[in-house]
Amino acid sequence: MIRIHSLFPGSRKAPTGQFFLNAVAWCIALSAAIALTGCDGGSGDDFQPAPSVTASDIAADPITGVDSLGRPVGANEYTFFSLRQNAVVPRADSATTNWDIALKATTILVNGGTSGPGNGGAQVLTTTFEDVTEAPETGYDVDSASGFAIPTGSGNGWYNYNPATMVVSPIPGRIIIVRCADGSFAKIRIVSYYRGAPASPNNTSESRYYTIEFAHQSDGSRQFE
Amino acid sequence: MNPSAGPSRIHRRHFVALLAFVVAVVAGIRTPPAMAQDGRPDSSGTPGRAPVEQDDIAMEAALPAIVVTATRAGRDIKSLPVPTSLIAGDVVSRQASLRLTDVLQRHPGLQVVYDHGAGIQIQGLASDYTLILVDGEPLIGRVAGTLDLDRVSVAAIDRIEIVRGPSSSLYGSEALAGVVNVITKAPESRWSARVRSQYETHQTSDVAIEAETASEDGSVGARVYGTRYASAGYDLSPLVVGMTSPGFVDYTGGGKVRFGAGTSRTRGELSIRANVQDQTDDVLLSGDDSEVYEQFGRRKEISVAPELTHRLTPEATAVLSLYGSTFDTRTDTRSPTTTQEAASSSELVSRALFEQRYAKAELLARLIPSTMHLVTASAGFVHEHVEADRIAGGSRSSRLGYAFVQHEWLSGDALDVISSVRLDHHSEYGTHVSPRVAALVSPGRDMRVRAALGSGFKAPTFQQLYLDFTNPAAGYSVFGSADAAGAIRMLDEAGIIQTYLQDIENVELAPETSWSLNAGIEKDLQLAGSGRRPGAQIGLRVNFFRNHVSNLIEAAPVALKTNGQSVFTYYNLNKIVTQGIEFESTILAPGGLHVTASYTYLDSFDCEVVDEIKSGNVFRREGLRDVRVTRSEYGGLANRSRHMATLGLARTFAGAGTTADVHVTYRGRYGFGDLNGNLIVDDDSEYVDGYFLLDATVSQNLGSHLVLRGGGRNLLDHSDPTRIPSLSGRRLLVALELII
Repeated sequence: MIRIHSLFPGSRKAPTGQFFLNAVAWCIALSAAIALTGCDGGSGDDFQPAPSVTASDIAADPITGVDSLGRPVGANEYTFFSLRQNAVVPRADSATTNWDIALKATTILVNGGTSGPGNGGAQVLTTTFEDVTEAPETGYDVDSASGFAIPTGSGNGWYNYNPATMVVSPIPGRIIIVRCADGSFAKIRIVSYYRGAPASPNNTSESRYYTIEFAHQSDGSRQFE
Repeated sequence: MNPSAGPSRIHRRHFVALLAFVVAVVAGIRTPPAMAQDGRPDSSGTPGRAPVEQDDIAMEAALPAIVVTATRAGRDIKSLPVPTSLIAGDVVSRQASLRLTDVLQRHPGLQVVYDHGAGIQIQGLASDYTLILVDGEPLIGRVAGTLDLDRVSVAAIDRIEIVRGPSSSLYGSEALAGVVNVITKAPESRWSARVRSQYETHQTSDVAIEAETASEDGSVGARVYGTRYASAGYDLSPLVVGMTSPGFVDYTGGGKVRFGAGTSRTRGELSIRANVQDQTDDVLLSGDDSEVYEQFGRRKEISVAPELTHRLTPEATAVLSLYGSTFDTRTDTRSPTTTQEAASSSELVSRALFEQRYAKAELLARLIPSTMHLVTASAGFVHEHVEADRIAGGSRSSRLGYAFVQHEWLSGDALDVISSVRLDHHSEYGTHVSPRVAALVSPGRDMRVRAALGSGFKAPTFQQLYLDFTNPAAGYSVFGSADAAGAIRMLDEAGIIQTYLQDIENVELAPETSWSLNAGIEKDLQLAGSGRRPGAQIGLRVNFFRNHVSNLIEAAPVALKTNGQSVFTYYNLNKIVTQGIEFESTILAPGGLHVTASYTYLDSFDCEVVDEIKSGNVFRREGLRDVRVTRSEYGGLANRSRHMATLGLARTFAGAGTTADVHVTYRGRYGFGDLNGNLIVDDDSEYVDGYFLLDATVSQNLGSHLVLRGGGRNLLDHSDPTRIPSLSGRRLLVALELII
């Protein structure tokens, strides 16, 4: 009955027309990285580009049934994930700084503010993964009582919900910059919200399984490349 | 490999086959001797009124066509500065159309689109921008903006007039893309009656009865009609619970009483129309897949329109008209019944009611201060009332006062200028002014140049003003703008609001407004005949249009709830542009052949989307990377075809009493919606391929009172169950008509 067309959130301007140049730069950086690691590292200039990795099918409170109103329900539990370790962190560590993001359905927490003891924060940029060569210095939000650093709701943060197809699609060109629990930086591109990251998910696809591409800079700098 | 090569080749093959078929049908039936001898219709020796008028197709073009919608008074369609087209009742009959949808779907440049019913898209503008009138009065009862054209029976219509471009300067809200006016027949003959029975695929049947009587001089008359229209419906996806299009039984009845027509100074007319439809379907309730519930829907509408016309002086006429209309729907959901239980024991799970009332009073005056000037002035008042579960407070009312004035300047033959302006004052959205100016220049008798510039508007709907809805499953809420601030404050006091995204005070909704330009040329050609046989008459028409619509009303998040879901209300946000060119050609060849061909090119876009694309903020996924969408990749507004075409051939064989009608509609490729998360149409997977619809009917007179008709719609059997569920595949029909 209700047609909802979300707006483009905010008016953050991304550098225009530089995609190709940046892609070239990225390729050069990547081959340099491979060359460097291949040579077993040089101790003089110790800058290491952040490697891009993919984590597949991170369960984010998968649906176990429906409640009396027909709403899908899971165990109502967050999955804690360390971008530094590229690994799921046991729930027992939820009060520690071992994790960087926590996932439950479409909600993503950072380890900071009201969500955790760490130094975590985040912001969502309108650009491509490759174009983010450096994490912004400022502009990070922290989870608080008035909202999360990564905004929830269709069209507000990282996804659009299509009421016609009942599919959650990551918005192309939305990159989440996460300040991890220890203050280091990572950039994340959400690849899929569905198990196995199908190219064309539909309402029978198994939802609440994140596939993410991310790069974490372990040297503590904001520089990814 | 071009991935689109396959489908387009199939279409080309279809099209060639189609052309061959069309040529075969029209050329194959040999011209009867009676016609061939002198080329004129044989008008001798037919007692009474022949069911198919002698050479009626030629008659259509020969008589001056008087239309009333464009200026609120009768005018010859050729002399009108405002682009207007006409569909004659005869065409509707010979094409065996039952509902307004069937008729408009075939008309050049119009596109039937489905969203909670069949609506009409004119010049690429959505169906809620077109005003639908029956005998000059608005139909009410839009669902999600769509006024379902299947509600309107065309059993007793005289003609349909279509005005393109904004007409808010005469009609107010909704007349933004155009006006469709369905004009029912008036009592004219001493005594006549008609009974028609039609059967179609999907157990669709329609029985219509009409009768009329009028005094010898035609000054007093009465006319009644009634139809029963029913169908078993169809199911294109049997694995899904419920029919694709559920079965229904629909009754329409109406009538007209007239007195004082002709020379008397005072004349009156009373029109009544009523429609009831019952529909039953199976549904699943959300969260309960185990049981199939039964859903019963009843729709009921009644309209009454008395009108009194008095000629004060030869130069001044006053018209007082009243109009009342009701539109009610009821949707009952019942628990499943087992075979042992009686149907009456099934439990009513839910009942949803919707009631709309519309009352209007209008006084109109027509003045002729001199032979070159014609002035129409009018003032009126509208009261509207709505009752529904999802309306804040259960029921709401609104009031509207309006006045308009129109000046027609007729400077002889060469130039004709119409200017009009209307002022609307509404209890909810305030004052709105709509002007229009249109001019016609005739450089010669056979050529006309038209231009019309006007502004239209669409008032916020009841839903946009008063909705109070929370989705129980998803947990989001939507409030109409009139109550949003109060409703959100209440949620905040209850601790449900987490954060505000927008200032909730001063949320005031304005009407959606447009500026439109139509400009075109019309040319008549008379080809030289051979011997005594006259040549073909050709009419060519081209019209350029550009529509700017701003202040589009959209739901947007205003606050976030503690459950992570949004609270929405309505805002005036986007701007859209639609522009294009319409070509139309009619050929009236000797021997009763009538050809109409049309092509429409349409370009449409959302200005905000274009800005965002230019700023580099819109992306799509290509393999494993995100790339920026370019302007040329943006497919414009969804559900708009860039290319549309129609081809109609009709031929009457007067001697044999046969009329054949073949019609092809082409709907070009169009985007149906977003799949890749960027909310715009840009990816190949987001398009529906273009397709052809072929309809054909043949009518045969059996004696002087009976007509037998057979044919089919969508004869190429095109279907696409997931993307075009409204297309049920090939439908065959047979009909018998008795005229007394």
